[in-house]
Amino acid sequence: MENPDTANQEAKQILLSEEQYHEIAQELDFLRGKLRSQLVLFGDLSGQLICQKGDLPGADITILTALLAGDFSATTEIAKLLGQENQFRLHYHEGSRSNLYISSLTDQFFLAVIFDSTVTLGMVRIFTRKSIDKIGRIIETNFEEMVKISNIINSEFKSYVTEGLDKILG
Amino acid sequence: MFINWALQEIYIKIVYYGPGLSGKTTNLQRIYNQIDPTHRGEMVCLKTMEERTIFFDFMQFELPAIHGKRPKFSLYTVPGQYYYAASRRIILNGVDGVVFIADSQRNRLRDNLDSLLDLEKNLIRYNRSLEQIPWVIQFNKQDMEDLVGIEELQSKLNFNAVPYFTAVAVQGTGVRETLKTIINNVIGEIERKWHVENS
Repeated sequence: MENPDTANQEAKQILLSEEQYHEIAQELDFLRGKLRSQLVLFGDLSGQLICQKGDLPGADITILTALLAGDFSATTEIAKLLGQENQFRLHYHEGSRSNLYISSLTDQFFLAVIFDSTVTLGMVRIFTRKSIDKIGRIIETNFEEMVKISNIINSEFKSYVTEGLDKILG
Repeated sequence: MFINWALQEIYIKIVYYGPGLSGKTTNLQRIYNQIDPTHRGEMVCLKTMEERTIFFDFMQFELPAIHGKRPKFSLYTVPGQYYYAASRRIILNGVDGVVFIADSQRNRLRDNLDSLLDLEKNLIRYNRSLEQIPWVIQFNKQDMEDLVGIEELQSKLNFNAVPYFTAVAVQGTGVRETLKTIINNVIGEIERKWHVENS
């Protein structure tokens, strides 16, 4: 029997084209404006920040993304333990000054919105859902000019990486 | 690996795995202290009141741009204690390479083996395995007493004959070499997988 926990690593998307990135950025901008959000970010559930709009002064957004991905994945594990397979597709954390809403997109990505108490949760749910659907369509699109991986990581890449590591690690 | 073509960024994820108290966090701290702050972000450690890792440690650094491309490396540790199995599985999501930190002391041999088996089990959850993922092994704590000899460590733990290093992570010995090798092997695997022709 197939293990329901098994995620197909090979099926993961590993390249985001320029067009896809800019369209996602545009959608995040739109969402941020609609919800008067301080920060909207789109990340990979492996912990990688892909795109952000807005900022949190004094906060390291790279670390925030790693923590959000960990938080989301941990709650998904809790859902499984509770027999709620694939049921926790969104999380909401209420703070004294700002709130956090996280929603997943496929098994690979997530969208997080930080908003204040003047915005209702209902609005956040509706607009985030719309953005998730739109970004889903953007990611699914097969752009004709998708770049070949071998054009990015070419034969010189490895030696440059070694050189770079020597430089920063000594 | 994830490539953001618009930003010319290449993200690679390395996970430090191993039994509790083998020196995973120490490895990350040494790397963090050695890298020029302009090339790295802050390090975050999620730990218990007893200073044990409860979820993960994380840091990211980037190399000087290569023809405009910016490789970024995310380093994670996992909590070593056996009851944090679910957390370890989560952190392996999207991993490109693993550094297995073994404790070279004789009384930890069983713990090392259990942790390796746990790693393999968790990789299988992602349809991967130690046979096909780049990994290296570090025999840490070489400054302690009652050590297992390298030959025995090799025969009992390094069943895939991956690169190995002896280390005293608290002194920084072996830490850089381990990191450089796993990164090189990860890039080598990417080249192999995507048929990059070497000139």
